Amino acid sequence: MPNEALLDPVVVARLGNLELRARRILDGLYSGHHLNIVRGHSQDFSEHRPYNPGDDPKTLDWKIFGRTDRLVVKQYEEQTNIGAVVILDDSASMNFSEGGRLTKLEYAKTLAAALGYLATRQGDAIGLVSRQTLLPPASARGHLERFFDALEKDRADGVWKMSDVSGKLGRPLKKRGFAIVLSDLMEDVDTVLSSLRALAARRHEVIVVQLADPAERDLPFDGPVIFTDMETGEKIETNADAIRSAYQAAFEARRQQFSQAFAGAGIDHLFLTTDTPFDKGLGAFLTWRAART
Amino acid sequence: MMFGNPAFLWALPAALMPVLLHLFNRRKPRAILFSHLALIRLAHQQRMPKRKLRDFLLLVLRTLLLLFLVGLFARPVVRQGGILGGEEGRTIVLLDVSASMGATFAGRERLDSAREEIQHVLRTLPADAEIGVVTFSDRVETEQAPTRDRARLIGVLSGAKVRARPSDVLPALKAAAAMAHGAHPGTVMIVSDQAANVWRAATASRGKWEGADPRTRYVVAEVGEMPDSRGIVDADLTLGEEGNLRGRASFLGNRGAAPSGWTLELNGRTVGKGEAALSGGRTDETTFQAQLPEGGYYSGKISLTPDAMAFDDVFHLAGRVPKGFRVLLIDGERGGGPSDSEVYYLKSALESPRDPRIESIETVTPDAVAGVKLTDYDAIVAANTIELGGRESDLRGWLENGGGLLLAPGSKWPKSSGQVLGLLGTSGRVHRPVVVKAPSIAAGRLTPVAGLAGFEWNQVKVDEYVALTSGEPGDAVITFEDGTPLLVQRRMGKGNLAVLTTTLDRAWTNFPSKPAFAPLMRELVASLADPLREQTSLQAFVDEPVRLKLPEGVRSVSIVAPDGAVSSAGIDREGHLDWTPPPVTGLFDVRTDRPDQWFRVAVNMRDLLSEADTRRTREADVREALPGSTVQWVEYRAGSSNLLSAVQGRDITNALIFFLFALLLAETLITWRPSWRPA
Repeated sequence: MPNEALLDPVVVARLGNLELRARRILDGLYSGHHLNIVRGHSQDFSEHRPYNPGDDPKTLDWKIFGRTDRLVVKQYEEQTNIGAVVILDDSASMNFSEGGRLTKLEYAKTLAAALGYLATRQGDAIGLVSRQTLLPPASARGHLERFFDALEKDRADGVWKMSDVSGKLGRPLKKRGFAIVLSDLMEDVDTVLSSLRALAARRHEVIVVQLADPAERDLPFDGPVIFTDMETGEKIETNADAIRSAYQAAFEARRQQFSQAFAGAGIDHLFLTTDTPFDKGLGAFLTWRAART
Repeated sequence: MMFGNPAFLWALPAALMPVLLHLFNRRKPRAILFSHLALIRLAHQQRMPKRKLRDFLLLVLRTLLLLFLVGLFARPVVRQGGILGGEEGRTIVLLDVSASMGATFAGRERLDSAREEIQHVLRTLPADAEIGVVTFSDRVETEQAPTRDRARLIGVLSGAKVRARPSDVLPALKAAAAMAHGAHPGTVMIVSDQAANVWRAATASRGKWEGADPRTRYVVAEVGEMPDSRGIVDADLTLGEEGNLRGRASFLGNRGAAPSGWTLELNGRTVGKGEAALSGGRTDETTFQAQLPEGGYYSGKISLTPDAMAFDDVFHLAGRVPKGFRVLLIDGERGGGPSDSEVYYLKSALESPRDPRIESIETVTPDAVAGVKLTDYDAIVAANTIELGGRESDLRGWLENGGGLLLAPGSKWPKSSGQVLGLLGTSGRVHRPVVVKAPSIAAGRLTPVAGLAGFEWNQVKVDEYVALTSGEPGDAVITFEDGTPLLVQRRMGKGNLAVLTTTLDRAWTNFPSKPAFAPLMRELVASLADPLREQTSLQAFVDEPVRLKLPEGVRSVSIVAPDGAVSSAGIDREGHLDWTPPPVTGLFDVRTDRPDQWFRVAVNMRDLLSEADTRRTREADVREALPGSTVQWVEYRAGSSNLLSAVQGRDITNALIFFLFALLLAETLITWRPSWRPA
């Protein structure tokens, strides 16, 4: 089992380099999981590739191992031709954190880095789309570094519109692909849903990882507070104690609303808070994905 | 609005404490950059209006809580109806101090409750209000003219004591009217138990009493509850002919009264017990008797099991058992037959039937007196006797030492002027027919002689009598029509001398054959033997003068009341004590300057039957007594100051307590947060 303390978001955040973060996370995961972002069972064999830790042992080609004493795994058409794109919400609201935790953006970047690292290790193409970045998916040598650079450079700013960002996916994800949305989903449900439905209509498989700071869920503030909207600058003076329960109920209702809407549209949805250890967060994502495919 | 304790109003600014705390503790809002305000706005719109309302309510509630708390201590009273001293004339307080006001509830006298109620009123009336006080029973006991001097009024109230007298408000109403001096009559407050007898006379007068003014406002306040009560309304104890004390007592049971045991105590001993069959509104009577040593005084009481109305649970009794006396008859002329004897008719009067007070009767001739020890006798009758064989001086000495002597003439008495036995001077015998004048029975020495009242004295004919020397001292008890005395009595030393100026037999008069002769002679001889004979009853009533015969030789007396108060009383020429008992019931010690001569007088209340009636006066009766006037009836309610509420307004202390609790409850409900509810 991994040392949970070492995978705590706060500890991981101290590792300034995203690549290091990704390795730390995945190192922790290898010991207990068989990792694969994209896992399919198409009957059309495509090629062999060397075995990587984390690959499902079932995919090992034992005949080759018997003849050559090398561990290789069989890849099928579906797996080899699919590229994954991380859609990263880099709006100003993603810069929120409370109590010294990682911002949602930092958490999302770390999660994206780990996914990119994992995908590259498994020979899958990985790309990144945000308001500020467009990195088409590729698996070529050196692509991962560009992926990490793009993540590093991305800054939280402005207002996020899912439609704008998803529109960028036309070129990088020409073939049937795999979109992982990392966002706090502060947009209107219908707007988000219509954008993602368009992606799903193009036979892309869409996974939405909704991120939230625990403070956004619990509203742990006391007494009179002036809230300022990070995206619009709007202010509301209120009493946190007075509105807490109503806020929590509204937050949960909104989460449920997203969950139900996504389920109805065939879109996978995962809710994570930024205090969730990365191994658990990513592990949960991968396990959950495994169960879905 | 008035306040019972206005000093507490200084604490009113404390009610602003919640507002001040709210202002001082107002926190500066913390600025927080938040990801998105949509949900915040939603929650804010849902909750903040309620929250602001809640905070405002809490502020108001807490301010009111403190206000009401201060108000509670200040005892606010809301004015009602303008029945106030100073505003519309004077206020006169009539305080009932009759016996029923001494009823005790939970160890507290009803009068004390009334006093407290009035003092509440005095404290809250405006300082410039003129207030008068009248205490009353069936008469005005004390009066305090209207004044602004509260200390004086409090003094009058504090000095008021329960009087052993019945109630009648009418004299007090008149006194209150007189206090108005023709000005606006103002308000009259009648503070009483408002028992049935308080308003009886006033109701009967239907407002036609002196000073009645329909402009007067009346506040009629009941004080104290009306208990189930039983009482003794009358009792007496007299000496029966057989020598026993025979008594009788009447009881009254008020509503709800149960049978009660009675006890008779005399001279410190219980001499009788029984049970009075009492129930609501029912009376019962009982008789009893007791044997006491003769010749002594007795005192005690008949009592019922005590109840709240103690004044009618005891009836005091006192009296005297006359001593048995010995009589010596000196028969100056014995004839051949018994009826020839000078004392035949007298002896018959004393012995047929025999007077139970007589211990012995002995008849001797004048010659035989020489062998008689005079001090063995209490009374001597010398009939037709002019000499005693040289013992005349002994007779005088015996007489002056306290003996009682009756002299009656006869044929041996001198026809012309002369001395009889050295005791009496006569002008000689008068031979002419005269008629006896009817004596005054109602007042005078013949009062205790029963049977004389209807007697026709003009039937008594006297043919011959002895005229006494003019200037001979003595009181003519019975005279002829021309004023000449028939029976004379006078003091000689410590003794009593009586002279009948005609014969004791029928030689000179037909009197011995008349019905009045026997009772007159019995009482005459008894009075000579025992001067206190009529003093068998030592009963008196409060405030009613009593005349008591004192033992011989007593020159001064002091009277000790049951409460220990000592007073003196006058003694008249005839040795009677003239005394008016104060309005206190009980056994009063009459102490004389002779240590061996003292006795007790029982003083009771009159009209116990009406005063013991615990029914309340009906409001309609009071309105009938005060036609045209505004009458505010203040019903008794336990545990509250009703008079204060009625006169000054409504005492809202209870309402404040109620609101205080309501506010506390509201505050608790508003701030209550169940433990299961998320924070």
